[in-house]
Amino acid sequence: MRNYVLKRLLFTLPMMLAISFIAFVIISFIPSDPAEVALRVNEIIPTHEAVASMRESLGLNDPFLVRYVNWLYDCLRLDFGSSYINHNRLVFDEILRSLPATLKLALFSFILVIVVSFPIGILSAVFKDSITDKVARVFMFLFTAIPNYWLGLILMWFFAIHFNLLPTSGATSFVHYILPAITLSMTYVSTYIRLIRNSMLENMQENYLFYARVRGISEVVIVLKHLFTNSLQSTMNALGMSFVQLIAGTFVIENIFAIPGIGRLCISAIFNRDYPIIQAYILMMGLLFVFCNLFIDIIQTYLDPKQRRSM
Amino acid sequence: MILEVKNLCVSVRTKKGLHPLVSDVTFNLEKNHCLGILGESGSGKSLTCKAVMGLLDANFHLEGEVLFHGKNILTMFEKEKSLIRGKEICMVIQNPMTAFNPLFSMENQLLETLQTHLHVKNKKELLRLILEAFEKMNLHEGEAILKKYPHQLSGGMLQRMMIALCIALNPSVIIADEPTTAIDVVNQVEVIRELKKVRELYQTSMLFISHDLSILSQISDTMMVMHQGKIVESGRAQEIIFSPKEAPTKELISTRLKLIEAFQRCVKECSC
Repeated sequence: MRNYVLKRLLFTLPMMLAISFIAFVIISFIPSDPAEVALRVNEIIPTHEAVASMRESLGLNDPFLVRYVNWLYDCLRLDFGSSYINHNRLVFDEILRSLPATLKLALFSFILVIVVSFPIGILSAVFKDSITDKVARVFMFLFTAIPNYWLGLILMWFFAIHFNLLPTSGATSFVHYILPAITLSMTYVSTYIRLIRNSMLENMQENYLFYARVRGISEVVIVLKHLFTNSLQSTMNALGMSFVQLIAGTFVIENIFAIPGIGRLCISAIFNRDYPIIQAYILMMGLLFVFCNLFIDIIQTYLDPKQRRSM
Repeated sequence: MILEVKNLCVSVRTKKGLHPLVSDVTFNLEKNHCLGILGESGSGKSLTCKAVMGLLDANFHLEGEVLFHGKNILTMFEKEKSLIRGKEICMVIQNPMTAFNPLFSMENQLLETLQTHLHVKNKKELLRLILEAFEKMNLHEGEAILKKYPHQLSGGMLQRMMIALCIALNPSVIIADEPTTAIDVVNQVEVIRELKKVRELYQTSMLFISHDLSILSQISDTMMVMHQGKIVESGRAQEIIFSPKEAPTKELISTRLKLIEAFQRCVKECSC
């Protein structure tokens, strides 16, 4: 087991390097000159001299690879530079400040996805073609099709304005996260209902379920212990990815509900051409994907007795 | 009389109406008696057994009676059925390699079965029961086997574990649904030996399904031959094997003989 984990960790190194390189290259390819942008956002007129001295201080005159290596070295020390907008603000601190709100939102949505989609998925698989299944399927299609910004606005209008039950925006307490989390999770809920339903239906003809019935095991145990756990394997992989997608995909929702999270930070950075923040964001999300994937892989390998032995 | 099946008809519900699969099957099973059911694939042998176990879902329409100690299983509620299925009537199924859940250890699954049926809560006591049954089935080092997962065991071993599970539950009837089909010849002989031993030790009644004449002739007292969902012939096992009356039976026996001839020819050619 330890060897397997170490091996997998080792394999992530080239992947992380590639992500960092892409994050760096993407920003370098943006046509506008960072030095000029850095001057403009601080409302300094970009004269020839000013640009030249800015290029010097930002280290833009070095060759491309040297700049990359320097940047990478800084990143390893968690130094992502300072924001163009406000030189006193470090990118790392900015991200650290906005991360909790996004993590809370993502975690809340993630729990919501599991709590809602698993039972419905199980029920609609077990009672295939029943009323429950049909209703679930209609909702599934509906929520896959509805764009989440629209759903967010509708929910906001309904629950926050019409009934005045929940706050429209902000992130000061748990209540503030209810509407955004519901909005964010709905698309995933319908995806997971479908995923669980299909994979359970696929496994339903398995011989071990028949033998479990032969052995006289109760139907509840058969469904939850024997059928569901075997169907969960394909879902696990997707769940790992979804968690990162929940963190990385909060742009719209955070803006609608005015949650000071990392999505909003990134959006404002994009509008302000605050390149260091965008760069750090890309790098961070890439790494998050790699590590979440790795984490899920390890858990999955551990849970599957066949793979656990061969590790 | 332990098990009486009277005029059992099984049909499947299709869009065009009921499509009969098994019709008018009648047989009796006495204590310490082994009834063999012979028939080619698709002749309704397994379906009959599933009906007896009460394992057919709502897609199937059942008629007739299946009396277990005088009570009709077909009209029972699920609660009553669950007291019989897996406890009073145990079944050894084919394809042992896929019969156990790959995610759980053998111990987990065997214990789960005993805990469902026996009112013993003590885990050690139940484990002792399983290990005793293992010993009788020639499964040695039982504790080590219990810790294993299905994919780590051979088909023959898993098949014998199924039989061991039956023994631990001490049922009135054991239904063996082609228990030797999916395993190799050496294991086949073993499994048949173990099943015979179960009969000697516990006087359990047995319903033995197979398409293999030689295996049936070894274990069953009486035999019935099924063809296209109907019983075509029944009687004492030896009589049917040596003097078949109906065409399907004759065909099964002659096919068997041809196979043996072909096999012997091959052996001869190889040795030349």
